[in-house]
Amino acid sequence: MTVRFDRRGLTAGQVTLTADFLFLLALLLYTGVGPVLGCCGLAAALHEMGHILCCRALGVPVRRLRLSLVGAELDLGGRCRSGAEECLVALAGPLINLTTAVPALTAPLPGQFHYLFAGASLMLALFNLLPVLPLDGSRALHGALSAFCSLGWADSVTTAVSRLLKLALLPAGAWCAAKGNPSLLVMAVWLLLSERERNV
Amino acid sequence: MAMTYGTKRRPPRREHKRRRSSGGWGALARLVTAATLFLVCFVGKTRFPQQTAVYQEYLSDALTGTTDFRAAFSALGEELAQGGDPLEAVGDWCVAVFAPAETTVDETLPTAAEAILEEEVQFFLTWDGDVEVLCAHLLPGET
Repeated sequence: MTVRFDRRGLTAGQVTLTADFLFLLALLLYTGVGPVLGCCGLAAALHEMGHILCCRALGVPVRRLRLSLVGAELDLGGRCRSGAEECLVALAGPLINLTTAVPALTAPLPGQFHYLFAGASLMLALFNLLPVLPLDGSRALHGALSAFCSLGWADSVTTAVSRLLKLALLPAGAWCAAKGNPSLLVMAVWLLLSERERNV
Repeated sequence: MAMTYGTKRRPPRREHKRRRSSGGWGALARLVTAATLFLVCFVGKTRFPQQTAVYQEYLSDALTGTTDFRAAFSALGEELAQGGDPLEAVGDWCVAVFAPAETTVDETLPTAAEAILEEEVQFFLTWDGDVEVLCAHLLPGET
């Protein structure tokens, strides 16, 4: 396995680790969300595994797994052969989260950890299904649209829907923050930063 | 999100020269800083929990307000496990995580009132049922 460093970050094999990801991890660790972080991390790992397994099954090569401010994201190098393929790859992650949440819910285990994991998995799946760039929902929407119309039109619609939702999220987040709960605002800013990060 | 389908590969970008230039050192500095920060947080949290807790609450409040993510996720899982309506459970989660903090009425008593309340509670807990004692207690100037 080759380890190299460039302006993207530290790359070991096909995994690239950026400074932003470490900042994010340090912040989350410091703010004391240990068990939540553990469950979300496990759910996120399964989510990415779902994408990778689907890519393998469809014969789509994975160029890189990048851990950044966005979280974990797969770089397929634009090598999906069709809209349906892009849609399937995008939906595979949330699907794995939904399927792993079910046994966690029904498992007769003591304590609250499995409930925490099931809740985190479910919300990770639903959150990723939002048609907001760079989440899976927008990729699935793009793939589905491109099956019926031109790629340019699919691009435009996906971008427009994403921007519309972000524009709605920002003032709503600001209002909630003014009322004492900044969670929605943090999420809206994170989504904006995520898109900026992807465009770099 | 401009992309094309097909097996054609994108033409290779000419960025080798840029990659070797000062941008690489800047990124390295950022990565080292972030790794150091991560290690400091990790060691600080495990070895010096009291010292690191000083700003933790402040930072946590700034990021999440009073939202208890752990409780929200657990409640969602528990509600679904008990056969609750999934849409309702997700709605409850969204309210717990994103809804504005409720304006709470300050129900704490002023210190003086609290002391009086405590005194009265103590009296009635130890009162033996004697009416004269009760009258003397409630109407101290009348006897």
